[in-house]
Amino acid sequence: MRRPEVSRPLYVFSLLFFIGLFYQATPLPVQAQTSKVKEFKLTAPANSREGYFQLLISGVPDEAGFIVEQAADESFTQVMNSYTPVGSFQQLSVSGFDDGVYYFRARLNGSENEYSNIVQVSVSHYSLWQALGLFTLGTVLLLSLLLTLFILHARYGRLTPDHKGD
Amino acid sequence: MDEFALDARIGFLIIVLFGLAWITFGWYLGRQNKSHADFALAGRNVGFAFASATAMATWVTSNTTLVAPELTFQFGLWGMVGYSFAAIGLILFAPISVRIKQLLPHGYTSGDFIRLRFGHTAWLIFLIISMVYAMGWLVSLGMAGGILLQALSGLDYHIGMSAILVICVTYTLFGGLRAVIATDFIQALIIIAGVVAIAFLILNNVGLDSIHSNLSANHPRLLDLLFPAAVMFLFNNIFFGLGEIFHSNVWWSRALAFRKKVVFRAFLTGGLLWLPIPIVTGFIALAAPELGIFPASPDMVGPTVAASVLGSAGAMLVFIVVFSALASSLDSLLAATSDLITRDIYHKRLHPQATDAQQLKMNRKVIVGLGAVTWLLCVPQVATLAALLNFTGAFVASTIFPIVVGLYQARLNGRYAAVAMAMGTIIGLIAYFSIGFYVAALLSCLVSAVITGVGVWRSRSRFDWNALNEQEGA
Repeated sequence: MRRPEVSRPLYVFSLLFFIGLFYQATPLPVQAQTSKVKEFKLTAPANSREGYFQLLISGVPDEAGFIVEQAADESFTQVMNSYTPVGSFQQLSVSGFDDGVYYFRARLNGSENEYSNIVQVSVSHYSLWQALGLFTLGTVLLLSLLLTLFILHARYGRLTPDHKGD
Repeated sequence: MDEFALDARIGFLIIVLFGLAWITFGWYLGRQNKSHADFALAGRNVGFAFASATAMATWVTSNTTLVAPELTFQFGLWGMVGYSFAAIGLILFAPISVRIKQLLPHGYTSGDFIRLRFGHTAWLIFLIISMVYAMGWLVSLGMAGGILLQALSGLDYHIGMSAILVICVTYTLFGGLRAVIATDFIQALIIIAGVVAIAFLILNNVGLDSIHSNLSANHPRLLDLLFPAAVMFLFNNIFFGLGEIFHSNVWWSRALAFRKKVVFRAFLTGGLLWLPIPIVTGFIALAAPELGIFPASPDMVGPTVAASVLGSAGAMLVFIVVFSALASSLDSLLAATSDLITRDIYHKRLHPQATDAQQLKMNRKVIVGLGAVTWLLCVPQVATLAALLNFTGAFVASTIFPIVVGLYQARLNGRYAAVAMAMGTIIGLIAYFSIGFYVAALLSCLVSAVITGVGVWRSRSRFDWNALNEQEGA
């Protein structure tokens, strides 16, 4: 039987594809901006049930970076933590927050008085009883599956092809 | 962290070199394929070493290398430990694979079993579930390639995504399952060595005490074993993993390809080898706050932390490890999904008289088509990797009990199996959108299990197992 061949144009296509991609492979910022935008704005979800969320910034000038500050009150009496984004990304992810209300604002790098708006994120975790209820349900279901599989395999797993099951 | 760890052109060069090596290897191995069975099932003759390696490497996916750190970053300790429980699926598939080989000596796909065991209605529902899952996984893998390069080098997401899809489609086209399994073996060695090296270097550079202090002070929930969202995630993830493995033709095709005497040990060994890997990769994410790393998207945290600690050389190591993980899964999924479409739809429904050569040709066309559709779906980058994958949990978890019971118990008929899968999926999806992803797979499996149990209890007929012994041409 003659084995079908993969067509030769596939080789040419692959080569042209890689050449084309190579010349595109310049490290452009993910969200490169071509003009200075006036509004410097921070956005975040108002609520989080899991203690993790993303902070997004817009309006950062081309050459500038930014950091995000966190405080326990809206007047930023004391900055509790600071977060720096990776590379030139204009958003960052944070996690592991306990129940509470958190305030964030962004500040341009090298500046002490250029701030974004202040956002408030309220973290309220799911109730532990709800979680443990699902945990218990999952445990029961998994044990049922294990029991089913082991009993069925023990009973029928070694039978010959002529007598394959119940 | 202000700069990217890897130069974009170096990252791209690594992709090209790996791609050329893999494509050449695929072409070399593909010369041995003489029939569709050779292409789709590697001649049904895979030995223990390759079998274990492919089982482990295929399950080490973008999930393990990118999502495990993501979930650890979001859910803390339970994120990484809970994720490692997905090894249970591989381990429990060991006895199931023995039964599959016993019942389907001439079988090709999981769809073959469902069609012969439960009839066409159940088969149609199963195909829908399989295709949704396959496309979800393919898209997550394609996206992961783009995210990986973007996180390490700032390179545009679409370039990395496109490159990995082209490479994997090309060498799968040449070599079929034989090339997939052989490259898996090499990729498994790279993954194990690389992951261990990265974890050791991070521990050495950062230190456990400083990680713990920072987390305790600023991100306390990540160390909390009673973190509610994490506890809710735990069993949902387990059942998602079970559903993925029990239903997917990626694993059924391997069960049918491995030699009979090695199949049990291969899956058991693969599962045990895989179990510590998400813990190691997840641990990397716990170092992020101490290092001042707050990624743009949580699915970038793994490679970003590793690159930050290890510098450019480390970034290259991370890149090679994750790329190997992605490629080892992407090629398996392409091969298995195209087998399912070629065999179940093209051969069994559209063109029953198709010759072996025609099936082989169609298989290759389907691989290209899948690659193209995946690329289109990857372009918009609509969700994070974890969110995308958890959506498919509602679908696949509904197949667990129908498949397990259907393999051993002759009293479960097709009608109940079909209803179990359909209702499980529907309830799972309702739960996904109305409650959250934490419950989708769990509720889907529960509903399906109850209906399956009722089906066995109420049934008065018994299935004739000889009906599964379908000869070619039937």
